[in-house]
Amino acid sequence: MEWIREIGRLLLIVVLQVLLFNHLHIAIWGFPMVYILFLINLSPRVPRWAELLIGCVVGLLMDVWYSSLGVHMAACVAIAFIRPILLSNTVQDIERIKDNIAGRMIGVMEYAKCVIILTIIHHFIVFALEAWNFSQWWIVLLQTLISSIMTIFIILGYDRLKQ
Amino acid sequence: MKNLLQFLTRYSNFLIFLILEVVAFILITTTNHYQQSATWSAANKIVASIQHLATNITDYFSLREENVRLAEENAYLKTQMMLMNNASESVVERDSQYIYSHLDWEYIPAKVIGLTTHKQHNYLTINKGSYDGIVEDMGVVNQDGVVGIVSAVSERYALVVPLIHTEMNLSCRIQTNNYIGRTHWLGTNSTQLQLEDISRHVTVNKGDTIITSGLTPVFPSGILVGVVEQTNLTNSDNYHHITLQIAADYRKLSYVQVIHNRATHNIEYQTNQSLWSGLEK
Repeated sequence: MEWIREIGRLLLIVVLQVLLFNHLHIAIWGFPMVYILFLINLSPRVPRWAELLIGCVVGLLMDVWYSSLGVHMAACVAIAFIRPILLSNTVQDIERIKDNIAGRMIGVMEYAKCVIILTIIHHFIVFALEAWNFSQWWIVLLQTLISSIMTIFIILGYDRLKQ
Repeated sequence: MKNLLQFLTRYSNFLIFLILEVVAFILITTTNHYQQSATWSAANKIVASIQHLATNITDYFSLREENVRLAEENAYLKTQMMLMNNASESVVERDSQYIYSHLDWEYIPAKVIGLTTHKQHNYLTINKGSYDGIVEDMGVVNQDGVVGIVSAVSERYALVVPLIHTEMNLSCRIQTNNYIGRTHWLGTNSTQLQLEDISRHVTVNKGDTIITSGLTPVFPSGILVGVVEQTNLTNSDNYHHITLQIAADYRKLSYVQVIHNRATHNIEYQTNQSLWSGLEK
């Protein structure tokens, strides 16, 4: 039954992303990609190979929506690979957590650290692959910076509300 | 063999990661950003119908604005009709110096249901597809000017590459002196385009009108693309750096017309014929 609930969560977050967060963009500079919350909050008990495949599917879903095949997939697979390493380095005895992770379980500061690192990596990969050449690298960096701030703000705000 | 198995089990996660990343990169490099596939883009039936549903709701918020715009367009069309009635047939002949005359073009109305303006590769989705006679490489305009070119078509929906897409180039000319150039988008401002390939001996002034060249079968000649906003020419430049204000406002786009060129098939057929006869010699 658990995985049905997870699929429901995924659909909800994708719909929220495409119908709500897509319209919050600031010109080309700020574009919050809140859907990565699903990947960040996955339960630590999910096996790593499954996590990579989930990242791949979530990325492809967004890619079909944005008509940018491969871009979000590459970024999501990357954060799905990094997340378990990051979690085991920041949180002690992560194995005891059975549910989806949240600020109140692993500590607000630790959670914020994970969210910030994963968001910046994901956004940088998306914007870099979208631009494809680095002749306008400053655009990529500025987009990453402003969009990351927006995404992190929304994700941590939601985590604060949940408590 | 045992060592290999041991190696594979130990690094299996890393291998999956590598394989998935390689697949992603292959997808990025092999998908042509201009010619999209209908299944794996927003022309996809499911994605497009969700977008359609969403615009049906958000449309209510811009009804008043849309009414004013339609009334203005009505008035404009009425005056055009009067002018056409009064004028003699020479009006039509004026365009005959270009390959395609206005009689060859048919306009298919469509509604924009999905649109991005904040990315490097922007796309818009329209609610007409192959059922309505839309095929790839048709031009798309609205009442203000050129909007883009159709790049992928499914049964009910089509994906359009707008002028604000970094890989989009459009052949166009300066109305006052007929010099031909092409547009290029820098990827930062959704209201501005660059006009390239205009040599330094050409005089370009702020406020000059830029229209479609009529050299491609996609657009008829003389559709507004934009107005020159700024020109820049240093001593070492061979070409002008021209910035255009785009005529179509992408942030308020709601209704567009897809242009069907009735003559295209004939002309392509003839070109192929001459090509084949040339090869045989």
